[in-house]
Amino acid sequence: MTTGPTRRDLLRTAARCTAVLALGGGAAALLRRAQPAGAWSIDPSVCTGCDGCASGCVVPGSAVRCVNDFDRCGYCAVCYGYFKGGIDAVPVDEPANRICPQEAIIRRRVGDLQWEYTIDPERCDGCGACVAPCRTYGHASFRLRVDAERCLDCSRCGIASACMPQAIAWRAEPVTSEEGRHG
Amino acid sequence: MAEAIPDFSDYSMPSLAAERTPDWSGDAIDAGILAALLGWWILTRRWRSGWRWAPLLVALAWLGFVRQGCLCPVGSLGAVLAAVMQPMVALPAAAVVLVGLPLLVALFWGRAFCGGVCPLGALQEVVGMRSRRLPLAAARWLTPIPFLVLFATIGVAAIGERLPCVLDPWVVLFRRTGHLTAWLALALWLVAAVVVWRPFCRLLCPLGAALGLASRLAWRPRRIAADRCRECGACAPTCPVHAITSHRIDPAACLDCGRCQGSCRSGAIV
Repeated sequence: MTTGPTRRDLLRTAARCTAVLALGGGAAALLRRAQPAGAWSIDPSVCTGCDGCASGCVVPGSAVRCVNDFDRCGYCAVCYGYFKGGIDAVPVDEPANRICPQEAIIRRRVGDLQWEYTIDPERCDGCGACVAPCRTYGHASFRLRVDAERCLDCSRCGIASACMPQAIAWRAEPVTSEEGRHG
Repeated sequence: MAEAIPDFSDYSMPSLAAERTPDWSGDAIDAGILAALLGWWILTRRWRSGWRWAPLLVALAWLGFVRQGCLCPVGSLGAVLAAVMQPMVALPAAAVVLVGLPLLVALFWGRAFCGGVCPLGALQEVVGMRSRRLPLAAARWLTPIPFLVLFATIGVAAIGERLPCVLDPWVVLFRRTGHLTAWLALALWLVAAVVVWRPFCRLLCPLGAALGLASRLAWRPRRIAADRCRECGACAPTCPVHAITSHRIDPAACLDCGRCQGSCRSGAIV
């Protein structure tokens, strides 16, 4: 038997050192790419308000919620995100005339001609039914937003796969304003 | 026309800005726990005490039931491979650690991660206290499967998909949500784990295959010291993965579970 290291041992040591260096380099490159600060976020100027956020998310009831951006909202008496029928809406506030299938939008009079629309996050499932009409006829104040408390930060978001216009993406800075819209 | 001042409700719109600041602490905690458990398992190699098995239970509790099986080490392999090939796939730092550290350890001490720190292995050990090892003939035929799964994982990663997450039956238990088929798959694997020792590790796990490849270069894997071995052969039947043949331990197959150690009366297994 030999007492010193054999040629085989030396080769193995060399291969191991190479593997450790390759592993270290690869891990460093990947860690630089990994984003601890990022989050899935929806760009409202790209979002079409389809049903993808409600149906594509792995979280029961979806991690996406609609919010009403008060800086944009017109406080309209006849809200097109609230009443069915677009510009021909009949403003009688009863369940059959409301758009939200979850009854999550709360309408409340705050002035002579002004109405405040708020959203109950416990009821909203991010279906986006109110988003498109508000964009088309109103001020585009209803928008979908990924709730950081509910989002699991999946490395491959189910909504991102389902979202045809690719409005949702992993971003370091969420999109907070919508360019080019009146408001 | 002067309007009356609206009387707003106290509802405030949820913030649209980032609510999370850059924070590596969660990933650092995962990495720290993982490193501690791996260190414990390697340093206590000669122990006979039950405390040696603590890392398996800690890993099962933390990665399994606290982190809810996501990230799991096998899924992390899929996530890392998918992220390497598809730049649009988001990559959590913890996934890099969960694959990188076991690989690094395997290059020095063999598959210590499989034997002592893997939460999926721990779950199978818990239900498989009285399990038996596969018959040798079956084991011979089934050994290449994890390597095929590893190649398939790499192939599927090219389109950004993660095969291990599809194959992993355990996450249903950790999350306690899932489709009926997923629950049935879990039940099937649990029954298999009661009968046979660690069926998932032997039949499917692509991370185990990768660690086995790295272990071929290992510096100090679990081995039988030739100068102390009396070639009695008592250890070979105690190995649940048939890693001991002709008084040698195959580092690629050995999960570093330590079951052989008690059988050696000359203390040759180190």
